[in-house]
Amino acid sequence: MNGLKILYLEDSEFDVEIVRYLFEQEKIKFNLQQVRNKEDYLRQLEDFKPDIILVNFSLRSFEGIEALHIVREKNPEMPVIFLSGILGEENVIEVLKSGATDYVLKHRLGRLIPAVHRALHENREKAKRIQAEKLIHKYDFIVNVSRSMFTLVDRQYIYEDVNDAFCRAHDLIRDEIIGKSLSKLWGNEVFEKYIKKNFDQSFSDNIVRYQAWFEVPKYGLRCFEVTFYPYKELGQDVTHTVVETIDITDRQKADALQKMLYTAIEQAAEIVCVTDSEGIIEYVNSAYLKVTGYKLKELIGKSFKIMLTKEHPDEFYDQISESISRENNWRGNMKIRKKNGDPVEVYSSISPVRNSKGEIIQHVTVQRDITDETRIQNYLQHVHRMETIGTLAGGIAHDFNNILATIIGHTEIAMEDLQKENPSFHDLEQILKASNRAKDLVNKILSFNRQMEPKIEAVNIGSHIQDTIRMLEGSIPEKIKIKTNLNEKCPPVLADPSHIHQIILNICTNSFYAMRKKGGTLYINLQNQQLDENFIRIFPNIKKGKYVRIDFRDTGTGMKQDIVKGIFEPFFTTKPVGEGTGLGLSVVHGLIKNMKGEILVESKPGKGSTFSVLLPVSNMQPVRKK
Amino acid sequence: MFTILIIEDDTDLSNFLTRLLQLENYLIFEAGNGLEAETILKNTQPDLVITDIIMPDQDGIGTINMLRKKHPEIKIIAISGGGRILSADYLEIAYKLGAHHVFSKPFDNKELLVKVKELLGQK
Repeated sequence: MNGLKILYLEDSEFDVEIVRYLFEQEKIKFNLQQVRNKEDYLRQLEDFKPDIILVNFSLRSFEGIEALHIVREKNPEMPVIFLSGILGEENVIEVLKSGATDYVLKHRLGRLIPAVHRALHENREKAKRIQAEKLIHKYDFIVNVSRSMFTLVDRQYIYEDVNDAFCRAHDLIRDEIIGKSLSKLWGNEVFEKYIKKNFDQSFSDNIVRYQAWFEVPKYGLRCFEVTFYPYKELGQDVTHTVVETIDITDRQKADALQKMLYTAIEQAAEIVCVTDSEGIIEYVNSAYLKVTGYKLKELIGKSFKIMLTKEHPDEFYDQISESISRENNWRGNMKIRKKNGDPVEVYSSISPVRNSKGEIIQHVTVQRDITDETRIQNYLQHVHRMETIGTLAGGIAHDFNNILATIIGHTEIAMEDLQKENPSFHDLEQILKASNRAKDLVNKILSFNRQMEPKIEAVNIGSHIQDTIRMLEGSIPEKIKIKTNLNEKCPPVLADPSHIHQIILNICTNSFYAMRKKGGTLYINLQNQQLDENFIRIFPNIKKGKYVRIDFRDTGTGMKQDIVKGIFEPFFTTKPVGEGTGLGLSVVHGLIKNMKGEILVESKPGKGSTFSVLLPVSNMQPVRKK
Repeated sequence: MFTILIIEDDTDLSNFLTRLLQLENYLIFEAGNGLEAETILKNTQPDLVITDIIMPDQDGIGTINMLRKKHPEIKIIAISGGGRILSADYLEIAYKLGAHHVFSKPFDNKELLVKVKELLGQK
């Protein structure tokens, strides 16, 4: 007891001295304040703030009981000890009933100190209890207001306590749970199979945590994170387990959604890039890396400006920024740069990501490589133009021929009437000559036009090969030779002759290109071929039966496997930019497929390539070539 | 005297054919299309018909068809300018339908006259 503050309501100095003496004897540090009347008493209550009050019961001017009441109002816990001369029993009862902590007879002051001790001690104990109760009240609130479920289970697997959330979720009241064992509540089988082992683990002083989906009566099937915490009562080993169950369904759903979106973006063919508000790249998907040729670490953290090309003027990019901030999107075609510097034409959609204040925090760019699309579109436009010209030419030709016939006809009649010596005869001859040239011109236009339309007939492959070689022989270099081995007995193939011509021409061109540096020989072999079950198994689109096989074997550079895989793809080319469209072999492939045939490739780098074309034979007679 | 019916929608060409054949002393009738030809055929029986293959109103092919059915004894020469319709080879079809000969424009005058003489059985 340090500096025990004693307020003594007493008018007798003598008594005060005795009390002082008693406290000094006890070697108690104290500060005793004497008051004699009500005003001082009240004032000292405020200012002095005593720890304990001693009251002379028999004070005439100010009743002890009143003093007691006053203090009890403000400070119900204040220890108040009455001192008095002999008290009648009634007075004692009255004193104690009115709330005095104790009373001590003045002729037995020996009891004073013990009474003080006891009073203070009781007070302390009371304060502790109140403190404890406050604490309990506080934690009870916290535990029961939580939406997570808590249970306290003892080592006999019996519920000692559960919180409100647990009761609510299971649609039970606390009394139905506390004191019951887990096996009683959930069934012995469930308990033994799924629950017991977790408790045992935690009783061995381990934290156990897992996630699981299960049904609770109130909310249905939800996903929970369950944690078993070993609990040790003060000074002991593990006495209980606290089980905490948190509903993480929303988190699971959000995770699943995120995973799904991430997968969708990652495996998309479109290229996706996310930058922060300054344009620094935060994320790109795998397609982005594939198309641009960069590695992930070469892009993350870099400015998106490395993707831009000089082909667009600054105004172009300005207009994109404006569109994004004004309309929250920009769509259009643009070029971006691959790692190797080549441009890629892409159709882009760029959108901002805004925070809750509306400020732009990121940009998302989704782009589609339209290089091939653009090429195809240009090619189709070209074809369309040619078709239009063809139609026009055809239309004009008819009338033109009529006019020519009239001119030629009359000229011939006039020439009949004249002698060769007549000067006009010569002029008429010139008219005739010019008209015949016009006739040839019209025929050329018409024949070009006719090539656009597929015209199926029974084609003799052997003679077509020979024709094509005759055509080519004039233009191939000395160091390239062509050798043929054509079986004359090969039946005809039902096809458009110009298509056959195209196939032979394109494959030969390809072979010549492979042999352009060192020269070599192209062997062309034409044979009958019967296709049986084994072949069909590998090439399911082919029917069994009789075919002709044309092998084109060159002694050129050959191709690696990964090139062989791609040669029939449109625009696939190993030639440098500007040389060749990459369409030759894909046209060949398309034509052969249309004829229900097949084309096979074998190649070894350094040794050469063999293209084998298989075409189904027809039963018709071949058209005699004019 | 032999009679020849010319069915041709191009006026200049028709005039030329008439002139050419009149010089050889043939009697010429002209029709601008298959319908006009049918009208003429109601009153006259020509020995030979020279018809263009592609004409408005009634295609030459239809005319040839009609002639073979109604007047199978009349000889037919078909002429074609080619070009306007691309997908069928009208000349071949004309042969198949019964034209006795086919010329394509512009043709050689002498060849045409020789063929006319031949078909009319002239020496």
